[in-house]
Amino acid sequence: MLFNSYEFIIFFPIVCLIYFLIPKKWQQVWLLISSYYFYMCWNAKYALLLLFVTFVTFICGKMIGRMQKEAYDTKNKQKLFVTIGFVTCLAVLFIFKYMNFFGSTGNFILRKIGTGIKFKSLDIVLPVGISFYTFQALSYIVDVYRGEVKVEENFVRFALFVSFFPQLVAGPIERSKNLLKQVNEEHSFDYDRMRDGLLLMIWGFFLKLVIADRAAIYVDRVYGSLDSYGGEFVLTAAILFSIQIYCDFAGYSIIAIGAAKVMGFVLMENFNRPYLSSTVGEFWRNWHISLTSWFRDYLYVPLGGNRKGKLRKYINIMIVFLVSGLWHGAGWHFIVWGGLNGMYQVIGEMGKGVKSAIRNILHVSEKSAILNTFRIVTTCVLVGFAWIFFRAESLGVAISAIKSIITMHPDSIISLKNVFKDVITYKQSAILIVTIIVLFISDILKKRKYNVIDWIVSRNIVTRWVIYIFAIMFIVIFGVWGPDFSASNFIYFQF
Amino acid sequence: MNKVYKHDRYRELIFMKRLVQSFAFIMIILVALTFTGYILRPKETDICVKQIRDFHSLGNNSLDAIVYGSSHSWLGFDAKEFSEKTGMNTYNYSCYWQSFNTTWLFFNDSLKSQKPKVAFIEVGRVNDYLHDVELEGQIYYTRKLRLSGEKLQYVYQCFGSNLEQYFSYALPIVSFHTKWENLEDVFKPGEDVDFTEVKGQMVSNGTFEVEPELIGYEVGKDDDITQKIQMINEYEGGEIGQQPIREENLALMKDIAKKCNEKGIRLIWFAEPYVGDYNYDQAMEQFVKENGGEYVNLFNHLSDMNFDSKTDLADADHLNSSGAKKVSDYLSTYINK
Repeated sequence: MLFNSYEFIIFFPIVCLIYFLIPKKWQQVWLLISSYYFYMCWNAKYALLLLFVTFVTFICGKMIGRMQKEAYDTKNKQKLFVTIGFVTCLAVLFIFKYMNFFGSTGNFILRKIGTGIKFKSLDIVLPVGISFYTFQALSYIVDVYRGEVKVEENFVRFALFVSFFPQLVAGPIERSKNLLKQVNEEHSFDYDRMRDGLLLMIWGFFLKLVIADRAAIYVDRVYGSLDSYGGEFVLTAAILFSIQIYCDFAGYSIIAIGAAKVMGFVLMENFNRPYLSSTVGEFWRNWHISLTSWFRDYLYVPLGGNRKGKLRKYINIMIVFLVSGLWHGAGWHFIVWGGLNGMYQVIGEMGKGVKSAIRNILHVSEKSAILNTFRIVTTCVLVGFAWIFFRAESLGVAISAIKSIITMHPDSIISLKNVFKDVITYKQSAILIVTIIVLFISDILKKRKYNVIDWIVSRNIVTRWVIYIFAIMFIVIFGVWGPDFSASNFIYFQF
Repeated sequence: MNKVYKHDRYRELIFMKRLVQSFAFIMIILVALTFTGYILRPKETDICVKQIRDFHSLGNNSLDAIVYGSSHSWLGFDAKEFSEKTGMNTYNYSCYWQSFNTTWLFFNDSLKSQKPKVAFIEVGRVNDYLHDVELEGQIYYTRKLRLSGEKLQYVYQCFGSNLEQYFSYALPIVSFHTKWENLEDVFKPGEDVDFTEVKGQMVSNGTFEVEPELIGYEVGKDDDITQKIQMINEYEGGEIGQQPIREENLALMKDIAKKCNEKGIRLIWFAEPYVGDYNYDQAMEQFVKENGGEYVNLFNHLSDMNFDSKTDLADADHLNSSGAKKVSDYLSTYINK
């Protein structure tokens, strides 16, 4: 079930209404049933996979917890269960997500070598959200092993932690420290909380329906027919994709956070105005925060982090980003995308001294607004360049897109004003540009610690309602939805 | 104790206030969505909405005869002329584009307020059945018909399991919100036509100009129009032949026949002349034989009607006011026989 579907418009209020009306002891069971229903709307069979991952991690957690109570040293046995949990979950992930990718890569190598061996590809559909819920479940095992959370003895509560529907299919990847604790609490209806949650959902729908899905019309047309469009179109598509993926994914996360808030749950923030970051490192601390911090806590730090010298730190960064690329998708273009982002950071770290020297020569202050703007623009360009690999269906397509941009004739800059209207209508492009400006104003306000929602709710009722109604009507009228468009998936569903 | 009571009372009041506020807010949003949906509506249906409104404004049980059908009968039946000739108060309750299930809904809608003695049902689109479609012209204007079991059945016929379309039917902005790009023709309410004056007929004084491919085939001049139509079809590489009526529509036709039988309504199915292929003559004959009612194929009575293709057609598919008068005259003679 998509957030931007009619089913969800019916599903969500019913779930909330019943959730607050039933006795508190049944709330968790109701949410669990609702969450499984939410997932099964996509593919009922794959709910068994979710249940399997939940069951394995629940048992492993329980076993680790039991051993921690023993008087003698059980570290090795605990590690064994951590390993069982990891191997099982990652095996599920491998079979459903990576088997065909590695199979086809193997076939390519075997063909080059000249052997007659060929791996058969599996005809399986990638289960929605598999990368998210397996990572969330795995983090629980590690947290229990590290003694950071108590073992959850109740299977219903644990299953709800893994399958909580707002963040089940595309995150934020919650930590057991945060979500499991809340699953154990009782939640009563709170008007202000509901209002704040709904406001967040409105903002999320604005990002998804008005900006992301409108940008997608342009991006899909250009990427779908790269040969037919000149470099200026591909460049515009690349820029718009950077915005599309931000609004698409941040939109999903914000709707998830808002929906959870209505029910009394606080989920972690997943995006913090990433395109106003001064470095690629900062960008990654502000982009898909739940995944970046997951990799930091459960991969980068265990690999040694920055504790084992500079070279090892650089290697660790590269490993994390290559794995992150692979996490995003089973394709070489995703790995290159991850590698590029890792490389940016390694080069950034290595060049710190040089950058400082240049600043001194030019007498530019560290806090200079011009320098900061330059850094932000540079970060956006670097990240945007990497997104080309992310968006393209293959490495070949990405290289064609880059070639098209590089070989763009200088005269085509003059025709930049036509790059919109030749793909989408003038009015559509006007709406797109205006809403992107709104997005950036909102991000700038956020960077300056200005909370728009707090400002709105502190107004008098007339002003508040005018804002609410305007926002809802704006999304309804200018959103890309309805019978003319099929409810488009959130990009991150495929991961 | 008193303090606790006061505190609870205060909380109760706050809760009630917020409940009322929430309800008011939802109402405002619904009004805003409805109003915006109205602004962005398909304007070409305004005339049909007016037709429905005017029909509903008629006094209860004030009609003796009602005509149902698509644009063929809407333009091609002069109810005023028919009323004068027969002394029966007649109303043309047809409208544009109607597939047969829409006509069936109009028939049922009319029976909520009228008890006609005669029902004329035009059968040009007797085999057309709307199903699994999106909210468009004729479905959009049926929103103005009264809510009834038949209306729910009709909506289900049209939309099946498409949840989105049910939302659209309730709030048309779902389907039409993208029309903000074409706001040039926002207000075309079609209020200038008073259908009660012309007894429901959509009057057209246009004259059919023969399209290039039809030159040499002057409809109804020397020969039977059906033969001419056949020649036109052959000329266009099409096929002409008798076809069965689909099961779904046969069921709706039987429902109409049953209701007419129960309510003592004289049921007359009729085919209007036009330049095109009418393939259901045999099927209609068969239906009437099995289910009762009468059937008049006006294609077979062109000379009796004194039909002239040069003066009686508004366009290839529709009669003008002169043609409509001839149809009404012929049917008034028929009904008095």
